[in-house]
Amino acid sequence: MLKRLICAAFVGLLGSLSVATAQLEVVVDRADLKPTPLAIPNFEAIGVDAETSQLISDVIRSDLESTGLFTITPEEAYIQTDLNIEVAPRFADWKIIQSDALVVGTVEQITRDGNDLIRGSVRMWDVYGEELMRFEDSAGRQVSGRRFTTTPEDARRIAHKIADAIYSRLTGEDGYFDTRIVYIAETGPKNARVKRLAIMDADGANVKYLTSGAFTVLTPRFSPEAQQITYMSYEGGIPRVYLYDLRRARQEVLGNFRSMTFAPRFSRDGNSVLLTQATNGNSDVYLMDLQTRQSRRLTDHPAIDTSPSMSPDGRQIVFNSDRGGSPQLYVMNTDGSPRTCPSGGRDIACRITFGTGRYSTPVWSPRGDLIAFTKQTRGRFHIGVIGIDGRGERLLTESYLDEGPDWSPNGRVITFFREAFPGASPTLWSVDLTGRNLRPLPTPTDASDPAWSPLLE
Amino acid sequence: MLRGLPASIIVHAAVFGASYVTFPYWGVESRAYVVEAVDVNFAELGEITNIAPLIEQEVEEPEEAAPEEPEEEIPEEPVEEELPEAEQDVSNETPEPVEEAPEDILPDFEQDEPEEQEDEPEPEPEPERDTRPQPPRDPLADFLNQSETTFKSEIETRRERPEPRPVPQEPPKTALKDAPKPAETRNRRGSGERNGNTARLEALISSRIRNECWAGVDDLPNPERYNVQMKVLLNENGTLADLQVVEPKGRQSSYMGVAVDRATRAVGKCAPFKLPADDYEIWKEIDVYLGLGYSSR
Repeated sequence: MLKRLICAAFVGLLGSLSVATAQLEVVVDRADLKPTPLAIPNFEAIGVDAETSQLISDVIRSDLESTGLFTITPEEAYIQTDLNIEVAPRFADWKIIQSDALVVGTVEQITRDGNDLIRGSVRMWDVYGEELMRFEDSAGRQVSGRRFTTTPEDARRIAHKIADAIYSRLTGEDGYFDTRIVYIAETGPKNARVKRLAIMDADGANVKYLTSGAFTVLTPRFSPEAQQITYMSYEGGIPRVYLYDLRRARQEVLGNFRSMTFAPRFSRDGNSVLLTQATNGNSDVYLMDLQTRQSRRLTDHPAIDTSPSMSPDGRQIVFNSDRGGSPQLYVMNTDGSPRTCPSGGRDIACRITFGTGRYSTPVWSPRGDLIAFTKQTRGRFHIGVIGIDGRGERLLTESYLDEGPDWSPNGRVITFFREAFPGASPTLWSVDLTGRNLRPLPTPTDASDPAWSPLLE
Repeated sequence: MLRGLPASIIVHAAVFGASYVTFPYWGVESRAYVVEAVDVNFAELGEITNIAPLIEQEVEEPEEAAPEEPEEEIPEEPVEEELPEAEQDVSNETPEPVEEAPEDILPDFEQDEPEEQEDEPEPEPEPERDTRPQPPRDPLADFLNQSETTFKSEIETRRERPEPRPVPQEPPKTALKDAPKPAETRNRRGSGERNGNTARLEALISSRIRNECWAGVDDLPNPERYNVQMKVLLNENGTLADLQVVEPKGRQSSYMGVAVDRATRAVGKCAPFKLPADDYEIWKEIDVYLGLGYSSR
């Protein structure tokens, strides 16, 4: 009896203690990706007109919202209006309107060496964590805010830089707003189309035309330093690859090929250009050194090999070839050495696409793990991505004609051009790598063949 | 002496037993309050704490920005600021490159943790409630009142929100749906300590975090790599008392840093949690696991 009593008491005691120390385990393995709500009040204007401050604030909001990853809380909902970049906000006011982060900034005029300059400063607050969100500066240091200075006419670039800093802080990736897109501006009737080389900011602002339209130009591509563009032009009667120097506003023919050259693309270090040369009906891929202007033949096959693109490390090339009977994607080593193919065996060039349809215009991702392409199947065109080993093909878009993909410098977004139906005008579009956030890029004229610049310095 | 031992054990057991039965009803008054936002004048605080003037001509010069370095939380990198290259104008109409002024770094706050300053004037809700006179308790009435208060608070909270949530979940349904299966519960750590309330509370909290507060990490490359474990301590009114990141340890950068940010923000955003005060002892300490890597837990 006594033993039972002791046991019962012990059990009761242990039970009491265990309840007192019990704790919950909450496991959430996945959540639907939700846009992060941000509050971005107009930046305070200090010595500049309100329009400049409004412009910069608007561009920052527009940049971030265009990603589909953020929503901007409407300004009418803001409770606190006496924000100051020097002091912490009233977090409760921002929690009520459910903004995850609050961006506070100023735009001011400064004078340096007698020149009037615009300076934008920004800090960001974690509303629920009630703390300052630190940025990483270009030297990799943790800093409490970012500040950018430029000439008044480049005020939009301050906004793009700030938007890049915010994007990078919230996603862990480099931004892509302070970039440019070069494309082919098209005007005139279909049977007498004028195609000019054009360049604009990534958000469609500041469009400028680089060529007159006297000769048709196609497939422009940026150099890694964003100071040169290579493209194909019909100037002189024969389609040939040209180089355009943005600093000097000069163009030159690339190489001394006697036959047609086309589909150029810079190597990742910018020292060479991959291109296709067609001789007697046969097209092969070449690599031209821009210093020596010597070219090296990379493919040697009676089939049509074209549209080469280099991996970020420069060691591999993806290109399009119909050597298997229909246009498919192939990967090879840049030095031409044999490689083990994902499908088995060793070869100079390994086929990586085996799906139904025709694959073309491959572009290696800046991240290195994916290849974007155009696919035509069952009378429809798609922009898709595939792993470099040929696995994990995903089609991101579909329309009457989607073509010519190119990556944003952070490898997160793909731009391409679309003709929605037969006879429709070509327009530029972008789509997130996930296939979400398909949206048009505004251009003043019809547009095709977009190519994204690297992040500007 | 020997007779005294069982008697002592019985008396102690009785005391613990009584505590066990009555403890959930203690402090009934303090549950399920909506914490009012405290209006703190931060502008004055800034003046008091003598926050350094932000806009100074001196900070434009990299060499003069160096004294700001000690204020950096992690000043492991070299002091000198990097100046970006001059911007190039791409227009063929204006081929001359346009000089772009250096990119500056905003000087740091002198008060490195301004939020700590803000917390000072904020009254702690718990001590206030502890000082209230304790009326004689009727457990049944308390239970009914508590339920009413809990639901009322939830309704009031929803009314406070300017915009309704796009996908409001019904907690009871989600709770039932998401509640761990008995077999799963048995296999989990500490399952001997668990009861029906535990599973229900876990389901309630996870549902709220998933549906309303956590943005997930599906947009990051290889999202299965970014898993965050946190230990969360809650006050009796459901507000956050403490949050510690258990995993990953140390300062994170890039994607993992983003995942940690999102995880901690999710918990902060979800607070105050509306949970039954009777079960406070169960939910006052929560281990929160966010990430695909925990799907097998």
